[in-house]
Amino acid sequence: MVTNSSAALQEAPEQSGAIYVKDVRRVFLNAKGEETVALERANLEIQPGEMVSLLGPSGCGKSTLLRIIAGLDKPDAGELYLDDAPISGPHHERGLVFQDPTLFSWLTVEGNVSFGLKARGIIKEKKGDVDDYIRLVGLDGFQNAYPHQLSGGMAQRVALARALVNHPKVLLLDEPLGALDAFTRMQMQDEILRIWQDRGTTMLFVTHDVDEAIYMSDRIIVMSPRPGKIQEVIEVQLSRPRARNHPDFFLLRSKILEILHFAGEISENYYL
Amino acid sequence: MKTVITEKEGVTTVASEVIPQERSSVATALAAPPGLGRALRGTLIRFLPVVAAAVALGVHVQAPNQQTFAINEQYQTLLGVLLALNFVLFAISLAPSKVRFWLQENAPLAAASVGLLTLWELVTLKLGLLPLPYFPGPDKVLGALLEDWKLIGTSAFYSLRLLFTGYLVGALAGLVTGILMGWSKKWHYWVSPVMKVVGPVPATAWIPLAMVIFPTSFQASASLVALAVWFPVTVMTGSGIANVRNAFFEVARTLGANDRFLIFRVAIPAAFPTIFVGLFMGLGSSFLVLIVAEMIGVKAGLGWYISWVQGWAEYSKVYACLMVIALIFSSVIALLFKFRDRVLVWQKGLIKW
Repeated sequence: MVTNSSAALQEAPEQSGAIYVKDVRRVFLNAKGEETVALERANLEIQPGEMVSLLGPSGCGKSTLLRIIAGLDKPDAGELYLDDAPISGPHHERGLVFQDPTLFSWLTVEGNVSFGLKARGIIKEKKGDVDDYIRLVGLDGFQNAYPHQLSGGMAQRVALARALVNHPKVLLLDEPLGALDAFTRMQMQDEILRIWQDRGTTMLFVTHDVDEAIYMSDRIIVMSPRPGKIQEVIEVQLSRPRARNHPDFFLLRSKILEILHFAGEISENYYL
Repeated sequence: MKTVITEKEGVTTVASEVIPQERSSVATALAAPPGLGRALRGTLIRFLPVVAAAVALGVHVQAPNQQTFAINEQYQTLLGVLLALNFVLFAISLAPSKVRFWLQENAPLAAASVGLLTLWELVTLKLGLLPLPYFPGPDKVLGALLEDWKLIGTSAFYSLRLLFTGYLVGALAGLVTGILMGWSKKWHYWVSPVMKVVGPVPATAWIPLAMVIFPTSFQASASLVALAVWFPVTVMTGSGIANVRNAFFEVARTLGANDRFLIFRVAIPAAFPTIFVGLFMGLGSSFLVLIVAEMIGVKAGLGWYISWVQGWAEYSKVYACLMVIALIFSSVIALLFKFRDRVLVWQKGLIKW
């Protein structure tokens, strides 16, 4: 859509951004002191530049896993690495976008997007990046708008630009499109794919939408609840760009629904 | 556009894309062109202050006086000026302009204020319903103001100096303790009991102690004002910061923010709407403490002036001073709100005050 020739966006996709998750376990205690296993022996290996989705019903630990990778939560056991460095806390190399855009309501679009550069003290050198990324997500002209003046889709674009301006090795997305209407959602899926193909950033996103997972990912990590664990990893072999109405798409869809036990049963009188 | 405005009344929020918020005020509704009757009504409304001023002048000059001594003549001049001013404004507003808009909105209020002056004069000077010297007419209060403006002005200067010193110290101290309390559990543990016990004691109750501790009465009063400001500012700042959405901090951390950045660029701006409530409450109590402290201990300032002229039973000067106090304190509050509008510009269209 928007082809941008500025230097910031032209940086060669780095061959880094691999994630290793080994035997990660996370247990929550409730008020009575009983244990709930949110995540049990999670093992995961994500290649640089890969687009991977975590799919499953609520309570399967997919958000917990994402938060642990982001460094916002600590595992009770197991090891995590980004490339060769162990993950010990939040870092700008691992960008994060929530379902709620969580824009800083006291800052304009420009202020929000430049937040990371200011926090890291490199705003002077990278001033031009801010406008580049606002343009990248298609919000040129809205630099001075405040978050409450934006629609849900626009706000999520700002959140995306805010995370991307830091050039993260990995972008973590926690149900980023969950709050959007169906059409805005499909549009944003294409936008994210476009940015991913442009920048080659590793992306890991949580979703509970099977179609979204198939449409976007190279691999789908299917998770199941109680205790939360990785049930199956599915390679999506469909070529890109993908068609939402391709027969193979439906085939994969029904396979995943069966794994999740949500396919339903066809009753006999259906054909009568 | 204009037809839309009447429909828009009652509808408050506008979602979707960026939409400039329009204020549909009484003025815009009244200024809508259709109908001669409406235009006539508008003209009449704008004429009201002229009528009110004419009546005020007429009553003052023509009606016989009951409270006899020392009628102040400048009051007549003031009413004359008021009449002329209102007439000029009305004349200008005959042609459509910004003045007309402004006058349309404010004419009823202006007329009512002048009417109140007339009423005041009627119950005092003209009919003598209220006893002297406690209830002088507006002419005598004006006279007192003109006679004693130098002393009132000096007193106002001393009061403002005390107010600003105390307020700034108290607000800064409140911000610091509030931020520490809101940010760190340890600080909250140790400071909050002190707050709970010391905070509710009215600052004026410390006057005897303050007079002993501080070498000058200025320092004593300034610290009492500061104490009165410190309490609400600390409470509101602490609670504001403790209630900032955790997601803001999480996002900021993943964007590379350290603790210092989190405090100054996330916690404080996010909590500022609450902090401002504390600053506002603190300002209110600082006025109270200021006047009381001046009445009791300090030998200067507006509080001192009031109790001094009261001693001489010069009540017209008491009223004159009260008016100056009202003017100054409301201006100070207006100043604080201007500051808020600058800092909270992002709330424009989001929250109504």
